[in-house]
Amino acid sequence: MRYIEILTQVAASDAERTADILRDVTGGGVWIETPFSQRDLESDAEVDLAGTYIVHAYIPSDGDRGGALLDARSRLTGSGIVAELEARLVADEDWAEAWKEHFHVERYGSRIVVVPSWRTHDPQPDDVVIALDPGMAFGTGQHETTRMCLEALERAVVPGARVLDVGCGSGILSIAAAKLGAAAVIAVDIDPICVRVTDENAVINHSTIRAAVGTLGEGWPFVSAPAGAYDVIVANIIARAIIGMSRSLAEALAPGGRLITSGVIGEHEAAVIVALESQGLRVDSVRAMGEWRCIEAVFA
Amino acid sequence: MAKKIRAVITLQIEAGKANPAPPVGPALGQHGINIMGFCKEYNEKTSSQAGMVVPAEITVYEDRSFTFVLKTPPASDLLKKAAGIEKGSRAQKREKVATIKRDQVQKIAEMKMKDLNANDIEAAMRMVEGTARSMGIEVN
Repeated sequence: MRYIEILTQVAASDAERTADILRDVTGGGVWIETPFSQRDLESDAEVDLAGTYIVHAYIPSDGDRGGALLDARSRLTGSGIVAELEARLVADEDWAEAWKEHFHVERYGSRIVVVPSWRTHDPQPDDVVIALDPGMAFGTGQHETTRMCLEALERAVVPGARVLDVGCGSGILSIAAAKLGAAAVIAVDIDPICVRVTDENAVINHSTIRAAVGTLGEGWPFVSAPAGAYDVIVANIIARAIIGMSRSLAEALAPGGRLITSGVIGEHEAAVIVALESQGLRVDSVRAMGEWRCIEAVFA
Repeated sequence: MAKKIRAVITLQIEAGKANPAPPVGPALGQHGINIMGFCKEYNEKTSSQAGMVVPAEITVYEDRSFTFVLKTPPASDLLKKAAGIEKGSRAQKREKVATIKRDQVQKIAEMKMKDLNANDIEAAMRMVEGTARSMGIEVN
């Protein structure tokens, strides 16, 4: 079925009412492109009330386009809303499938390969293959920070290693660690959705990961899993969080253990290094990809 | 999870009825979001509110992962329900289609308070009353 899209640009104060009218006129749902700003890469979006809102509604292409436009126009005017209405034919697409075009088989480092469920991959003998579909948790592999952490894990995780993933998101880093031969992988995230997604992805990948809602220190969620003595800790979070838990991170490392942190933007690199070194860690690698940094430190 | 935000989208669709057809498909598809993943999650979380429009505010990140929060139904939907009508008036200046009581307006304002840009309940009530008037619903 093909559709005609009706869209209009309005101010914040008129967005709700315009959406009401277009829902009423078309008898279907609408979506609103919401203007926003993001103070820095570590902040959430803030809705920009001074910006332009774009309301989109749809009618079937064999519907009464002229009538719907007339109706919408007169009701907007009746509500004192001055807005141009635009109508355009929407390309016929299989929306349930089309988004998958954005995701391909991706290789990280020399061995790690992330494969979405709708793609096939002929693995090389020592490939570490992670089956992962993108969804409601950070870590699809498409972000620079995830990429750098995967590459660092490939170098750091030796068979038998004990690995902790702080802020596990989709679980992609935990699964990589398990498949690289880690003897134990413990994952925590403060977001319950991430823990659920990590569990689901671990099952799909036949990886044994103990994931729970929590963090290091007081928020440690496990009774039986040790809060310390990890050979590798990976924390792809944000600079503020890493600095805040730098002491706990240092305490959780085994002697000779390695900490891999990312989610840090260039301007916070120095502060993270200072925080880690003040806990007795020695920073031995800083990698950059775009505006992001991946900082590694060892517990000497 | 430091992440650059790609887009903020508000979907207004009926509870429990998200599917890949418009508006969900075009709204999310352009950003490469897992559409079936969203629909499943949305339908599960809204299943108890069948019959209402339950908006979802979706934040799309740079790596095409996303999160969403549910909002309270639009004031117009709550007003229609309170007034027991299907549709608002088309030419509201001439035609009153229903009447509701002030305490019903207050109830709706209280429910909507967290999503409205109102400083206090009085201001929220004025906003809800404005919506009611524009729909041909009289408040007394």
